[in-house]
Amino acid sequence: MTKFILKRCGIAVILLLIVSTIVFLLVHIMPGDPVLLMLGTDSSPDPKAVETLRQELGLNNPLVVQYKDWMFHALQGNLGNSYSEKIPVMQSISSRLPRTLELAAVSLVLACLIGLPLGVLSALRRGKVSDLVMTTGASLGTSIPVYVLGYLLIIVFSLNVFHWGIQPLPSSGYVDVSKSVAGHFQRLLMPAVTLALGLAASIMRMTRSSMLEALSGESVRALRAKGLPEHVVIVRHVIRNAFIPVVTVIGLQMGNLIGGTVLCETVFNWPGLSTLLVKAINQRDYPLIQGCILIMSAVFILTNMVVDIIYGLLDPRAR
Amino acid sequence: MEILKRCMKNKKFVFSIFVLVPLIFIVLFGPMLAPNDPLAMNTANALAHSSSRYPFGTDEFGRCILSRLLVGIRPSMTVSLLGTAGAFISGLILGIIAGYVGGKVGDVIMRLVDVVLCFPPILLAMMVVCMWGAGVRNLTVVVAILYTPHFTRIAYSSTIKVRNMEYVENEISVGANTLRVLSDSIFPNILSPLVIQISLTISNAILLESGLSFLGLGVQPPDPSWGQMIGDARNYLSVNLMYTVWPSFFLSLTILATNLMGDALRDVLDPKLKESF
Repeated sequence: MTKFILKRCGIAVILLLIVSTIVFLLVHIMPGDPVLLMLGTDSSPDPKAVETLRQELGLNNPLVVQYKDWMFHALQGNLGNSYSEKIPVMQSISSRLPRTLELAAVSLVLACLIGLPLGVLSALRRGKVSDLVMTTGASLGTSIPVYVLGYLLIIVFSLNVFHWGIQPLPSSGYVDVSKSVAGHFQRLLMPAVTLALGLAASIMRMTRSSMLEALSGESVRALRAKGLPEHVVIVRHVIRNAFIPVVTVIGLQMGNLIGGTVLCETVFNWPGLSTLLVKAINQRDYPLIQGCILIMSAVFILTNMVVDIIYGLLDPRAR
Repeated sequence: MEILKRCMKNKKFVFSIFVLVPLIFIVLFGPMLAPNDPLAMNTANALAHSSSRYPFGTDEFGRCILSRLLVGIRPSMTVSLLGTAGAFISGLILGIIAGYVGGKVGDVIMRLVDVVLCFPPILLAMMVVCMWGAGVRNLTVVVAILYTPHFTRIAYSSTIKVRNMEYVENEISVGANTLRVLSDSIFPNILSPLVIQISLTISNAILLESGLSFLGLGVQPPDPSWGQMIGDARNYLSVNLMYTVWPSFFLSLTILATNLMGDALRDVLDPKLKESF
């Protein structure tokens, strides 16, 4: 077991090295001069400013030296200075990363809370109307883009177009927990639900199919023949086996979840890492772009590592 | 023929055909069907509601939303269809080589392909866009690169499975030419999982293209694209609701139809999984 965990960690380290190398190469393999692009191409830039920025970014050194510096600094948590905000990249990232992680984590939990029970239920009611309703809902859930779902929720709950007797929810923005706990969660609710629904649909579909597979297994027939009550068969035996493959699906959906935060944060103006990245791309702030991509990919790799390890713990065959 | 018959019995397949055939028609003839010039601005008539001249109303520059919808499907479809075709071909070639030749060559190919999977898809796409710029051509390349690994992995594992079958070993042992073995024995037998992957990839690619365009990193204005229209409409939700609703509805419908097509193909081509969904 220890060997398995160590191996997974080793793979994660190698992947991180590859990702950081690619992110480093980003400004070097792009056509055009990043310095000129950063200064804006409309007017002919001041040669002095060009030289200063080039110096600041270390672009005058040989590539190998730059690579060594970048890796060395990155390991120490120094990702350079943001060009547009004039503050260290790590500082902007560290203020925004927790918000993105919070959004993603809350969505993941919500998605499991919605997807797992519905998947079990629809497998048990297979072929009935309620199953049809649930599977159709899941098909819709996997097809509607995150931002469309987000606007749908805004239209219904913030603009209150149906004039339901509810207090409209705030459609955008962020309030820190320390200022107002209620305000914070009010603004977290819609983006989190938006992200969760799509994920819940995938989880539900996988749970349903893996439940059906477990239900049709030989062992289930034996357990029933033994005279165990149906609920014991389902809860103790079927569900336990059925949830293992679901872990893999959750792992596979991590990339979509991170992609989803990019779109969802934009819809709801949630000031997380993704909105920072979109802003950085629009401003051609290369150090900031590199930093955001590196950190988000690192989160992605680490969560995948954790999922792999959990899977290994649950299913010894996967080790 | 047999497969087609089974497809026509599948409700999901029939539904997706009903949606996708008109869509393909719009992709081909959209600009001719458009009642107005999709780029013609008329600020005096901005954000107008539905009228006989502008059936779906107008956007913030007074452009006809219906015309923009009819034209705006093209970039999504171009990117997703050409990108998927690229990914399919390169994945097929890489996967077959890796699986058939095996050994070091196979390892190298599979590890290279894995590198692409270290990044969340949309991040890799954003990275490429910020290097080379946005636009239909670049987005197509991005989709092709992003989804090559999926096809490669499937082609690789199926090739290995088929390669060790007795009939393939027989063919090799009687001295059949390698290309012939690949085209006559391997290719037809690994095709069905790849076909299922094609429809999945197309819907993912549509999602990716529209997502990037929504963020303003995809198709560049003034050319319309559904994702970009939804992004632009964001500020006018309370003024003209339908401006957001129409592109959102058609985008979701397209993706739903493509997904259902994938489900139906899986039911038909892979009967082992038939019971599961």
